[in-house]
Amino acid sequence: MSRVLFLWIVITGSISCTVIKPNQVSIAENYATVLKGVSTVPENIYFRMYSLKAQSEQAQLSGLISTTGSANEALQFLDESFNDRIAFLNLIDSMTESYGLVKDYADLLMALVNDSYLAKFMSQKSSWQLSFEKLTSKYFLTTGKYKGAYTPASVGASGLVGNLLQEIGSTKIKSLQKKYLQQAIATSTPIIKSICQSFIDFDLPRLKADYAAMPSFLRENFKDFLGNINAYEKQAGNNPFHYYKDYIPVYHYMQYQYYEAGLLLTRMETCMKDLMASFDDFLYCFDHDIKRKDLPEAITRLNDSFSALTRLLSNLDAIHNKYNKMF
Amino acid sequence: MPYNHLIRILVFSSLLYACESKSTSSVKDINAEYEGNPATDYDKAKPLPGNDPGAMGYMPAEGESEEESKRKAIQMQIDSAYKSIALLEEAKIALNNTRDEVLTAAERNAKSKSIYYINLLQNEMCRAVDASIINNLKVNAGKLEQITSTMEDQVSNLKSASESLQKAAVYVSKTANIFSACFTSGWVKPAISKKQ
Repeated sequence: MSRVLFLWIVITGSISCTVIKPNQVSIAENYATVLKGVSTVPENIYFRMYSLKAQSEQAQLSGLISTTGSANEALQFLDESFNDRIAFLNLIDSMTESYGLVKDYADLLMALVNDSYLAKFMSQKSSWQLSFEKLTSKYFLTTGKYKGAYTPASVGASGLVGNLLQEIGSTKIKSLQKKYLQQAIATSTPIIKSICQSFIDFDLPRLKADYAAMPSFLRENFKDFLGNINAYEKQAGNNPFHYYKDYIPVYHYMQYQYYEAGLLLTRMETCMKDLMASFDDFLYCFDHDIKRKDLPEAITRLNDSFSALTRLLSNLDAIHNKYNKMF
Repeated sequence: MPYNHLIRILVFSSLLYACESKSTSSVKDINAEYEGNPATDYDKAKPLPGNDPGAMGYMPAEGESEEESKRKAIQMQIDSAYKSIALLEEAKIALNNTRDEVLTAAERNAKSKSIYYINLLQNEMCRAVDASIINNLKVNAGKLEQITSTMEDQVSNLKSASESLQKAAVYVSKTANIFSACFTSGWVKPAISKKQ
């Protein structure tokens, strides 16, 4: 009798250990939401910075084309300038593709959080799988190439994902959570952490240096553009004032875009640093079933900075429209 | 001595050698904008093992992890790139200090062409992540040097800018060497290659 009782205690004990509780689901949702939110911002910032450079170079290029006497030379500059822009686009792709992996992991975690996310994930399961496999293989290739550059990604992740994808659609979410949620968080975190660390170590210094150098870059290119207009108009006996006034909004708009990029960069820096400081707390809270009201300060701080970032992203269009109405 | 340590010492020696050029830049050092990373006077930085006067003067301390050394080397690459960008910007400012209305169309063309190539070089500096970029950097630095010497010989009104251009061109060549060293060591940003 006592043996049966002992067995019953062991069985019920092990079940209660593996059941995922609402607090754990809530922590997982919080974690995945932040990851998904920040994963698209690096591309957004890089694009804003390089688009701004390209706009200012476009103005300078028109001054150059107007002073060259040779059509062949003019076309050479136009072609080079076009290639330079495409190089910017390729650079944005290559610099930010690793953040796509963070987004894919976040989508997977979200699918394990509740039925509505799961249904959404199911509808795009094939495209998710293709994207994930491509990004993962590139990531392993890159981290293998640059030996020691990153925390080695757990090979268990591929097995987990394969099994999970097979069961999604035929197994209820509670069972999926019980079998995979803890493992999915544990195996994905080292990779996500190293990608976020690379934002702080490599992307942030570049972006901040680009940002600091930008005002002079915009100003000097625009000066060259205005200088050519001034010379041509004076030579033609015209007052350059009538031409300058048309270009003032162009310069101001570039300054405005610079202002927007700065807001985004500042918010993203804070949020990414808060995220880096919260990884261990997320894992701890998940493993120890911590209630939402008892979350550690690091996670509360992250949620505040993430909220500031998302609020800014959703307000950018509205601020933009207000700015345009000032003229 | 392990082979990796020998490579590391050789790379650092070549990087430090490349960074020895004297600079009298009046452009505000962009590193001053980094949080917790005050501007460094690169001319005065003494490379003592383990000290951290800024990435340019950094040498690995005994027992420092490979990861930490790599991180410092990449930051040195970033610092060098943006130092070059600042010097190129200084040359652009010198070019724009001339009054356009006194320049002939040919002189304005030479000035605009120089600014155009400076833009290309600055762009290549900030995207120095692979070997093809390093090659382009060297090609465009050559084009800029060519324009600078033409300017010195023929364009009297722009002579004042040529000194800044020469200084920038020399620094760009040195920075290209730093990029090459970081690239061949595998010490570049581990970006995932572009979308196929």
